[in-house]
Amino acid sequence: MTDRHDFLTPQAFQILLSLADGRDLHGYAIIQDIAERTADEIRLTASTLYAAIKRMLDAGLIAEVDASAESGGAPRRCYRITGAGRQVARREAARLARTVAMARDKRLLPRKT
Amino acid sequence: MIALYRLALRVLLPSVFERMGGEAIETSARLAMAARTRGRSAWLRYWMTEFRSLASTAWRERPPRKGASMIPTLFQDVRYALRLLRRTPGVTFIALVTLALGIGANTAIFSLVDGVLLRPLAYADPDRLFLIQHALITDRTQVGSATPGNFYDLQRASRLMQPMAAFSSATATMTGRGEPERLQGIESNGSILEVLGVAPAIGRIFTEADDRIGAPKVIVISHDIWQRLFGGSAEAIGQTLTLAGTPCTVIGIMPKGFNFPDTQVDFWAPAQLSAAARASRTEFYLQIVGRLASGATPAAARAELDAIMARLRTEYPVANSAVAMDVQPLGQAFVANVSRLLWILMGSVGCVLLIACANLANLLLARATGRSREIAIRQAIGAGRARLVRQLLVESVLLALLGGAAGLLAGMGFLKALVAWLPAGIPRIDLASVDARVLAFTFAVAAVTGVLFGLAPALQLARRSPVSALRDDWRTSTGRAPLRAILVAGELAMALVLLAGAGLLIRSFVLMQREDPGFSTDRLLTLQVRMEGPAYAKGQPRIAFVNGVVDRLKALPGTIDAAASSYAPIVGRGTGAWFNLVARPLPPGTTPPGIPYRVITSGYFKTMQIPLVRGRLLADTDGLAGTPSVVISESLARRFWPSDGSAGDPIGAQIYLGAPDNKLFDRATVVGIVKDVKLAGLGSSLTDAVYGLNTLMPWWRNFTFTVRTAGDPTALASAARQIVHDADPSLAITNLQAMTDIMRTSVAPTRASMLLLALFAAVAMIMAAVGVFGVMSYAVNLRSREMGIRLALGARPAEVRSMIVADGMKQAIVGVALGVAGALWLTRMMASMLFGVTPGDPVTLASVAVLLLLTAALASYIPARRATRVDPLVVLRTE
Repeated sequence: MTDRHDFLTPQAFQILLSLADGRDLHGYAIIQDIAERTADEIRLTASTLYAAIKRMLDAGLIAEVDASAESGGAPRRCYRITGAGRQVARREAARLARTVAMARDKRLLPRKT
Repeated sequence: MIALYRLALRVLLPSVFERMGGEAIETSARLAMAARTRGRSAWLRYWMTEFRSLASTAWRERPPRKGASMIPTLFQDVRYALRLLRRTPGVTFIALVTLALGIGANTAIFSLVDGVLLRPLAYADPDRLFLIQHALITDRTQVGSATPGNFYDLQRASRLMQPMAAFSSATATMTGRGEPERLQGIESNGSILEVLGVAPAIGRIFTEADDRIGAPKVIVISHDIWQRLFGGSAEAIGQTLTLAGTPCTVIGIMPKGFNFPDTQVDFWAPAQLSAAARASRTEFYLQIVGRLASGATPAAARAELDAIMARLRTEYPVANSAVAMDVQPLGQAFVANVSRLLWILMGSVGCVLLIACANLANLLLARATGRSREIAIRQAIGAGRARLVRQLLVESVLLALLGGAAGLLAGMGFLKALVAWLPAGIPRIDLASVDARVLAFTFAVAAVTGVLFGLAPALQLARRSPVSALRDDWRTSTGRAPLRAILVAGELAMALVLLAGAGLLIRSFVLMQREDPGFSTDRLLTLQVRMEGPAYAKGQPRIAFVNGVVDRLKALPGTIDAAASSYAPIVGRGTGAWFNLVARPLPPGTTPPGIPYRVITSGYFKTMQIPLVRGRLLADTDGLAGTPSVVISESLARRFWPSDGSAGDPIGAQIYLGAPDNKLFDRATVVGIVKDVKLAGLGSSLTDAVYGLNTLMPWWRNFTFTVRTAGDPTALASAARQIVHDADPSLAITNLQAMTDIMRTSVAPTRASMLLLALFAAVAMIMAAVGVFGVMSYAVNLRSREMGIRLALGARPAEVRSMIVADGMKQAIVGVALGVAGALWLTRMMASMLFGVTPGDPVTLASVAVLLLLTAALASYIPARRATRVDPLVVLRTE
């Protein structure tokens, strides 16, 4: 199972990023958060989001929690990053950082000043 | 849409649906709602992305197949289906032609809808662009242009619409490069090009700084003009073009395909208004475009503009007391006029395709019944029910896909014909083409069509027990098939809705053609000239030019009369001004009514044959230098001087046009009332007008000359052109055409929508008739033994015939009743396209209902007659 998640899809990685600071978010909030952070570059649809969430729940990268009651309205399921999820996200971030470093070496990106 | 999404999610991603379907649906509903605030097309785009991503996710996540049995059997099914199609060429041919026409029509209309309505505008971040207009405070659907004074105040005060610019159209004659030529341009207050955010292909766009008073005259030109005038050379930058006698430096060239606000524009230039013109609050001619600041919502921006306008109302009560703001997404505003028509056409071709589906379902149903023995044998030797249904669906989907391919070809042809044939002026129509999106649409439609018409026979077959089929006992049934009756009733209902729509448009068109334009359109030549350049800076040379040309046109052999006016009738509202009665000043702080006015030469009414009602026509002495006088239209006279005489007599009343501090002329006496003339098309009721001589309003520069001829007016075209050219070779002539051409253009949109809808309705009616015919023939076939027995027992053929026809009419009456209800509901959407009839017009509905019932009766009579022609003995013996 783990080898399937050694490589995260960009969407899944973005979902983990949204949850990385420990917030519990519901689906719509995750979509909004990703759209804001990426300046609309990544806009998930409901279908992609929930398909990804289901896969990540199955893999134990995120967990379901009930939203705190004070938010009012119908109780809504929120998602929280798990220890395993944080680890996978960290590994992916490190992998991306190495990729960026390689791109810098090949002068595809300006060197850091 | 939500229901459709729920269904698709359940079928395509069952695992997600079970675990968190409710949540996913709720989230998609919220996303859709958020998109809806950015307009209907954003909403539709959202759903298209949602469904596309659902499909691709489903494909990625598809469960691993159990074994590899699916593909080979599918292949088997396809091969078998192809063989079957070849074996019954008649059925296949009819089905393919029906599908090709149905799907082709849908492809063509969808290409139009997609290109004109759904594609985002080709500007940076187009969803944030808004068209800002003035609206009447009492009726916000009445929108119009803004004044420069209000625009500059809004631009200064608004924080949420940044940047903001205004534009107005400005045609100009280009001289110094061969024959003088009229170029279509846009003058911009602020920089409209900056607001749109499109980079030029070469050079730079103008900025707000270029709009300063006294800044150098610069222009940005279109790709087309660049190619034509400069052969696409980069040297064009820095060269000058002489427009309206003023040299302008070319600073930039827009990329190919860029257009704003429509395709016809050749250049964009800063308006560089004088300080006085910037402050004007009496001239309504600007359209404003604003970009929503990042982080702002449309609602907040609307509220902000409303608040600014409320302030402007108190600061400038005379100019603004009736003015509110209207803000709408630019993409919607551009296509507001055609979007209703295009959606109606889309709905209509959709109906036609559904009717075609119903017919094909009937056709396949009949064939399937013929094949029930074959199916029963397969079932008896162990074919599963699901396997059989699948095979039948493969057959119908294959047929539909072949039909779709043919439909695609047909659609390309239809689209080409449509674009060439539709009247000019549909924005963005050049974007309509059969591309990947349309391709996807066509094949999706084909696949859905295949399932729709394949489902009926498949389900029916799956229901029947193999034993009864093998025994052949269906032959003894009464031939009643509820499914087929429902299909036929549905077809008739849809056909009736289409017929009603077409009928209403036809009546509108006929009524419009019968309208009296108020003048004689026969043998009238028109041509337009704008006096530009320093030679016409003063009034005297303008008067001399216009009157000189009119005199020479009159002297032309074959001319009966000639005159000039600021606008030809029919072409539009034209310029208006505030209408003031000297004897009845308005209370302070109220806005006077705006009334269209026409600047004419004294022979205008005689040339146009506009009859005088009362008083006298204008004479040459009625200008500023003599006795300033005007003539008004009958409707205007009625509006301000009711017939009960309570307001006195219009003749002799003193009026002026414009604002107290900005009058078009000091005052003039009403000396006559003429018959109403339709100013803005035959379908418009706009007839209020004030007529004054060009010697009363000598600042007017743009004239339409009209020549009444003894013979064919176009025969004098070149002579008329020569006269203008001789008078001043630097002036360009535009719209040289017969008045009848103007009339034709004015009704062209109504005519085009009428003909298209009539075509679809006719096809729908024929298909529905074929459907009734098919079902009744089938029923008669099944009941031929019953008929034989009845005839043998002494029933008269006429009785048997009327029994069958009555049977057919039962379905027809149900269908027509449903159709009438549907038409009452659906034709309401057409209200704005109609003239002289109301959407639920009983005469139209009754006539199409009768027409459809007669067609259905005929379609059932033919099989009925055949049934009574057979020899009862033959029928009975075959059993």
